[in-house]
Amino acid sequence: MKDPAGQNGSGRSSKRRRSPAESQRALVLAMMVLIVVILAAVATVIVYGMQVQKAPRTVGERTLATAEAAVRDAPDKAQSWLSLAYAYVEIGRYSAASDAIARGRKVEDLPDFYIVDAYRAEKAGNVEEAIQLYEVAKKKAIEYRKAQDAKAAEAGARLTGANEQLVSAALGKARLLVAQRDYKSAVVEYDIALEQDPMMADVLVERGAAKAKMGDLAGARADYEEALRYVPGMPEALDGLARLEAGDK
Amino acid sequence: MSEGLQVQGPDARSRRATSLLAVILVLLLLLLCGVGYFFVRVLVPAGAPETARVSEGMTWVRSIYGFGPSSDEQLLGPTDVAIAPDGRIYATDPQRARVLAFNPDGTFAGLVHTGAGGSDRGMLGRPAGITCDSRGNLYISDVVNGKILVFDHDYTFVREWPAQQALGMRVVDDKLYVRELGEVVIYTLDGIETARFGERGRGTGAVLEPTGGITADEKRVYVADALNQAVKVFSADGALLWSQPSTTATGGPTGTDERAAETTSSPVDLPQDVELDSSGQLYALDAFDFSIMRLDNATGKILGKWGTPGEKDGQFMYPTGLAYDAARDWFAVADTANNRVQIVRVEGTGGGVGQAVTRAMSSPFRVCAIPLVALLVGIAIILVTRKREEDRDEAGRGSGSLAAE
Repeated sequence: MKDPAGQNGSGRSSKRRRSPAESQRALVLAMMVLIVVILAAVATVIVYGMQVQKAPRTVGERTLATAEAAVRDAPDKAQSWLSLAYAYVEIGRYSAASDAIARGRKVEDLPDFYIVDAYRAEKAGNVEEAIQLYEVAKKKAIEYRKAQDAKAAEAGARLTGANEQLVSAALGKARLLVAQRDYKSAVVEYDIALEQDPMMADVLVERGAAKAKMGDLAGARADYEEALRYVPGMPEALDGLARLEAGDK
Repeated sequence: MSEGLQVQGPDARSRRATSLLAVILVLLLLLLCGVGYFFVRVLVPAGAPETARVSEGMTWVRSIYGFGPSSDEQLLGPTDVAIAPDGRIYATDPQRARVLAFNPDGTFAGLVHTGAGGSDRGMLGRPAGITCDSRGNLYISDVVNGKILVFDHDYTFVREWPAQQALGMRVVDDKLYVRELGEVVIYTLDGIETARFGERGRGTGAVLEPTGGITADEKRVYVADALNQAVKVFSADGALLWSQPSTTATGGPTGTDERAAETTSSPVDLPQDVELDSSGQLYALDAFDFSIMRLDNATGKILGKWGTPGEKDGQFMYPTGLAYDAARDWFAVADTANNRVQIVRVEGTGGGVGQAVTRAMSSPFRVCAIPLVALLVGIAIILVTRKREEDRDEAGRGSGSLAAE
């Protein structure tokens, strides 16, 4: 006769059906083991983790440690919060970066905070959001500059030089648009940046490459040659011209 | 009792209790997963390179920046590194007149700090070169006070002796090789000079500039002649065997225009240190090429080089000190301008299984062994308990059968 429970002693007792009390004992035992393992893991994390995390272990952690120290020392300086936000972005702590940006903007609503916010979205892989945020940053940069100009005018002075924040925001947006192969829109952004500072050879090369991609070969050549005017022998510009000669965009 | 309610028997209650225990067990398992995730978050440094293979043929193991978050607790332009037999890594911190010690996993091990700028006996002014002997004693050159100091494994001062501009040095067996003012000086480990060769100067041949590291094997003495932009190799009695490049690239007092013309094509730019791996293979560290080079010991031919310039982990910026850990098959590099020490491995150093195990035991992840051992012990207890129960049941059934018969 078949004996599935193996109770006649012919089968291995492991095939025997466990009684509820035995199952419960086994479960309690397993729970106790797990509790011990969890406690051991937590204790190890606390004791050893504190040791390994005392000092920075990467350039990102060092930058963060420096930025955190700067914020501790001077929480009323917007620049400290800006550095902290960038440090968080570099190590991938995007929500902490958002928090630092929000707190920094309370100190001073600089356009730089909108740029780092766009950079945060870019690094987090949210390209569409980043493009929108760069656009917001551009507007903030223009407004901020207008306010600065007005303040300077009141003091009988005049601000000169490029609107650096506008350049940064426009370039950030342009590069994302290039990555999306929207060369036409990218060229518009490069134009904005170059209008502020026409002597940026590297940006001229980038715009030249975008123009070449959209088929504006004459425009591309002009940009590469213009870049070579500012940086004679610039390898990237020479490479661009060589690609045009070879018919390779 | 209400009619709608059924009376629950002991079986139903028991089933419910078992289910409850099973649910708690699952929750504990989830909690363990959470702790494991936190474990990984703590042990993996934030911002580490996406892949350990940072450049072709080179693997980044870790970077060491100091022993705390503040700038005073971090390295500032370390000029040299040394590795003790137990794997401890030493780095000079010249601007703060101290030497920092780290465990192979990067955690802080100690500090040799005798008082900034001290010139008295046993005091450290500006440590430049550093090396260890087989007992773990530490030899530090102090270029400000013109001496070599010896500290034991516990950082206790042992002895010192005068040595002018001792910038590079290395203990090989029971000898201490030191670069002093363009000469190679060989001391016993007690500081007694036994040999001296070389001449200070610019150009080719046996002349040397003071800066750069030194190492040796039974047959040769290898010198990184930094300002002459060459790696030079001498016989044990001081005869020049070869130089890489064969003519010195720099002009200078003894140089010629022809040599100066070769500067641009020199394969060696600013060699700052030399080191041998466990198989005796020669390596040089080039500060201006931002690379570790492998050279043929007999001819000086460059067999390969690894490294890229930059500030990211795994890149170098004007590195000046190199040391090899034979037990773990890795190099420690004083990445001077990046204010850190980097631990890297390069392909072809002949690491074996033993070294891989030692390396794993030097990883921060080795602490995972503690909960893992707890888990294994727990599983073993469960299995033993079960086996005992089964044996008891079988014994009970056996005696029952006999009684029935």
